[in-house]
Amino acid sequence: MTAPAGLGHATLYREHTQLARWRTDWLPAALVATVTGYAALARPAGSRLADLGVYLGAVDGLRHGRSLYDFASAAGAPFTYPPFAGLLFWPLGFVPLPALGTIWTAGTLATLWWLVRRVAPPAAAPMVALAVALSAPVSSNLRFGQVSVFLAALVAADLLVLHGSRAQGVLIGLAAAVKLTPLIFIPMLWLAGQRRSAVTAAGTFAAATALGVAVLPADSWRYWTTEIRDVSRLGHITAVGNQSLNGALLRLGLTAPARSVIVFLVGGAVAAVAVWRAARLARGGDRLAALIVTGAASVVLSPVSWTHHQTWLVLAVLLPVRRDIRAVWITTVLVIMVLPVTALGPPLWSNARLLLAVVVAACGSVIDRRSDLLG
Amino acid sequence: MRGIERLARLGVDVAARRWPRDVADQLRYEWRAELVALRDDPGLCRSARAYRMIMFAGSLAVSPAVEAEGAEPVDRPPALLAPAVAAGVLLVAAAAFNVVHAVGYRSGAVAGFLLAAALLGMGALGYHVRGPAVTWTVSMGAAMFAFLMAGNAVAVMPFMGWRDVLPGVAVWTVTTVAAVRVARRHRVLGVLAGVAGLEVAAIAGSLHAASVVKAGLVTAPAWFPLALLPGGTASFGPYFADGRAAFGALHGSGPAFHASDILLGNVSAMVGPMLLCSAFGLAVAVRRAPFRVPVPRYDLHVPLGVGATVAVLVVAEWLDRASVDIGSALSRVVDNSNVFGFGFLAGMSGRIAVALVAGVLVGQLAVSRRARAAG
Repeated sequence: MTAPAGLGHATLYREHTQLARWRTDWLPAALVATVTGYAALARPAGSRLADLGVYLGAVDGLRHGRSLYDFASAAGAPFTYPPFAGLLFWPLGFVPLPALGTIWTAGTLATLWWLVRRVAPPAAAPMVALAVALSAPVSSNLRFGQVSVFLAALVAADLLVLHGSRAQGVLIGLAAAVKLTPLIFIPMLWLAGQRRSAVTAAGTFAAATALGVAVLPADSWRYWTTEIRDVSRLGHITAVGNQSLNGALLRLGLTAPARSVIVFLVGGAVAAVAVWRAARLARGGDRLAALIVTGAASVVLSPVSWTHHQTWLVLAVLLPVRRDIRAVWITTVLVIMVLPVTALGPPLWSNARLLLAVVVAACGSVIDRRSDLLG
Repeated sequence: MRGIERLARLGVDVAARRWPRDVADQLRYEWRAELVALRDDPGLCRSARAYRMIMFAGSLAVSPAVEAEGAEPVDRPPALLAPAVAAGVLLVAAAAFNVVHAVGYRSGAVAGFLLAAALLGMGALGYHVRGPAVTWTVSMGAAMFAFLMAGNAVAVMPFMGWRDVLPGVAVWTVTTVAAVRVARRHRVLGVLAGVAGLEVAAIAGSLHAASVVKAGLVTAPAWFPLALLPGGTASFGPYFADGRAAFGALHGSGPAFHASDILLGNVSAMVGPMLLCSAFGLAVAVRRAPFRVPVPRYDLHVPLGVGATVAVLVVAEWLDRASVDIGSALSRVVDNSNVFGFGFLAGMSGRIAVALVAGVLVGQLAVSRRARAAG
């Protein structure tokens, strides 16, 4: 096989392939992200960026001497995060609302772009970005003006960027101080042999929480003694949007004691297996898989896992799955995380994302560490 | 699998045809060999093999050819270039003409100046673009038909059904193609033929309206020039003293008016953008020395695509907020201040679709320019 005169075949092919990539590279993802962000910002004022509105409303109440936890939006949504989150959101109140909405949305998209660039192999990154931009968790994040993507990026940055540095653990601790679910990454770090990072994360969480106590003692007392246990404040948690194990059991109509026992035993077992497996993956150098598996466990174990909490499950397309099932795996993840399958009805479809989270978290046979990624 | 393989072979054959003849056969041979290797890859399941083959062939099929350094470019414009140019030019022309008439409502002199500026601008744009004038003109005709039919859903022109749009656009397309052909050899004759084509197209697109409002055909030669002037410049046909009318799709009331006001307001929606598109097409045809637009040093197709998407969304929002109700529509038809309909931008899905199309097309244009630079 000879190369055409004057043209090196390898160069030709490489250039041609590169051009082909331009056509399918970041443009589709960028356009979908743009219109998704626009769709979020163009919603009617009453339902636009509702969770961002809750953050602002709670902080506004705080500035006027009221408790963070006395606030309820027009739709009845209260502030459900620890007091440290209130401190963190405090500066947002000084930005005009339209500008803040645009900045928040653009910031969410930029964070997602960074996250995908960081976790996906370069050849696959544009397609992963497109999948992420089309996914239900991202669209939910944008629609509600949620903080979840920022927290996921903090955790990912901690595990993937700060790995090996003295600062590793700080970002996980901060994320956990804003929303408690990232706490599950601390035992994973400990079991992975990164005990110093685990201690740093726990210390950062404790320090941030202590700061919240020092600045907002009454709100802190109220949150840590009362509000933290009142999951009914979190909204209609029987809805299919809640894909935690607790949510599935609620939809089945189980009583509170039965749910507590099952969540403790089954959810706890899934989380324990996931953390153990993630620690092994991290020890083996696959920190991305460890991140995704632990994130999936947080979806299962948390009392409430709304759609915007499930970003980890979209990233499951990046898990190093065995070659023989790779195409099926990617298709399945995309179908479940992009299409509104939970609306198809019980029992399977309405809990499809929970089932996916359980598989990602606890089914080790799916993942083959020996296979390379998208090879 | 046999069908998939045939489809993939067809894709690589299409891709190979884009290359110079001495290279094409070699590339076709190599790409077919690659397909065979993918088909027989023992490490992939059947569906993965089919997927890889289709993706391989598809990416090649949609990619432009790359020439060796110093080689003559393969002079074949990308497949979507003509629709991209047509949609873009038409929307720019329509927006420019809407601005002219919106200003003309207040000051006829300024409107005349703006119309001349718009004509010069579109002419300059066409003069500085290298491309097939006839193909672009036909594409502009198709885009004009589609946009006029879709746009009137909200923009409320009384006579903008297929009986009005089809003859007007068909006549414009045929006559402008003829004018473009003439203009290649005789500039002045070509321009005169273009003006004559607009005159005939204005009449063809208004015959149905004239029969309904009972405007005499004897005035037909004046419809085109009058449609470019502010409303009320000349009046003919029945007089509606009470300002009430029920013509075609329009059932509304406004100031007292003549039938000619309705007729001319309606025809201006068609011939205004046609005039500016004619200027563009004729300028493309009369340019003799090729003008080379500098190739951007960096790959800007993503920011340009996103920019186009954002621009469409911003314009759509602006138009949505500036939209008029049916009651005031008649007044705006009468004074010629409301012309080309952008109704397809009124709904969220419509504006997102148009924004995505704009982003893809602009990105495509940027990619094609970079692809030429790669040669």
